[in-house]
Amino acid sequence: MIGFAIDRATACDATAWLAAIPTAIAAIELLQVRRSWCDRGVWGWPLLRGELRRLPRAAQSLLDVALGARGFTAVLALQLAAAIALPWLTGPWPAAIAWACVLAGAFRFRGAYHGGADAMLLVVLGGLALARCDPDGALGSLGLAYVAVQLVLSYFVAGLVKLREPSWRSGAAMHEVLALPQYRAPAWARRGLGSRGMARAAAWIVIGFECLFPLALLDARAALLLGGVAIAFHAGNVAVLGLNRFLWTWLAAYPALLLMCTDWLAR
Amino acid sequence: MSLPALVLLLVVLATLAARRSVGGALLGRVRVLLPAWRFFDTVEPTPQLCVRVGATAAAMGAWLEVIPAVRRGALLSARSNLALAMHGLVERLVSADEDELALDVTLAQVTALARDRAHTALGHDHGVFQWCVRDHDGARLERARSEVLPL
Repeated sequence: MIGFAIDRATACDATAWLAAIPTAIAAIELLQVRRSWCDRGVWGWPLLRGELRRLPRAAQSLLDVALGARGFTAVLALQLAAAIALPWLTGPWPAAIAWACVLAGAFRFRGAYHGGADAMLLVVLGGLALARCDPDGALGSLGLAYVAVQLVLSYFVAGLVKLREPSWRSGAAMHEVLALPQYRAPAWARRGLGSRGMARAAAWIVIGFECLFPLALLDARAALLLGGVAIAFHAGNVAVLGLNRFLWTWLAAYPALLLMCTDWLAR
Repeated sequence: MSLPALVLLLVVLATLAARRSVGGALLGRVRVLLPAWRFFDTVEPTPQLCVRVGATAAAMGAWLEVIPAVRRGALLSARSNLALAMHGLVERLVSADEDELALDVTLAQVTALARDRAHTALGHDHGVFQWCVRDHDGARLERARSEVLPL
């Protein structure tokens, strides 16, 4: 029934190669905008640390060292080095270090710098670190299953909340998203979805795809098909909304999904 | 039920119960560990941050948009993602979803963002500026406005 199989070692290797890209992108992009988070910047640590003044003094001093401009530059350099090491070193450390660096960045930026992309990157790196801690054991299985389950949930929950929202069902939300000034959607996209019927059809395609995504867990062919649609969906989001990091980060979670449906569910 | 299956079930339940915002400064900063995945659950008009500058409070210029329009890339898009983070900051200010300490920080960040733009508009350090947050739709309803501040 299943036309291909992927083993755990291959899934780990593929995840490592794919996770290296968004891990490196996240570090490079933040280094490129260093002016915004240097000590006098909008995200300067002297400003951000004000929120943490109820912490014990020792914890504050530690955070000052790690998340001040100089310390955070070192954190990003370490993240970049871990990204480069990810495909080449098979132990858990590159993934664990990258996970800690991404979490430090999210903490520094008061929750997340790039929202869901940071969250999924942490899921992938955390799952990979666990899988590489115990390549043949239960912990390894759990790490990759965690990635696969979060990948499915990321679509399914997003689909459910849209399904509940009348503006999504009518297609109006599609217009509204394209009109949001922060995304500056290109004119061709706004023209293409300009009519009520087109916007409604596009909204239902998105809702349908997201709500049906759990089917990917049941069959490898369904996983490949839905994965193909998902890649087109993320590529569309890059072109229309400019969400570049989502494409690379979500892509890195797919080997775990393929492993789950070709290996564990086939047992 | 095996332990791994139980752990995964807990992950599913926690994700379904998760919300976007989490109370407390410390918890809020690690909320990324419990993703809610509620992308575009509600789509609301984004507030717009504007600034005006002048030599004195009596001689202010027109309101200028603070957050720049930038080019995007498929691989690297640092400026565009920075602009998205700036929009997120302004949304955070008007969401009224923060405790006092967090709100102070958000307010200081928005002021720093506006001051940066004011510097660029004036080209020097002498003068005053004022920022406001207003809806980005036709009505342009004002949601917040700062005092006149020194550059």
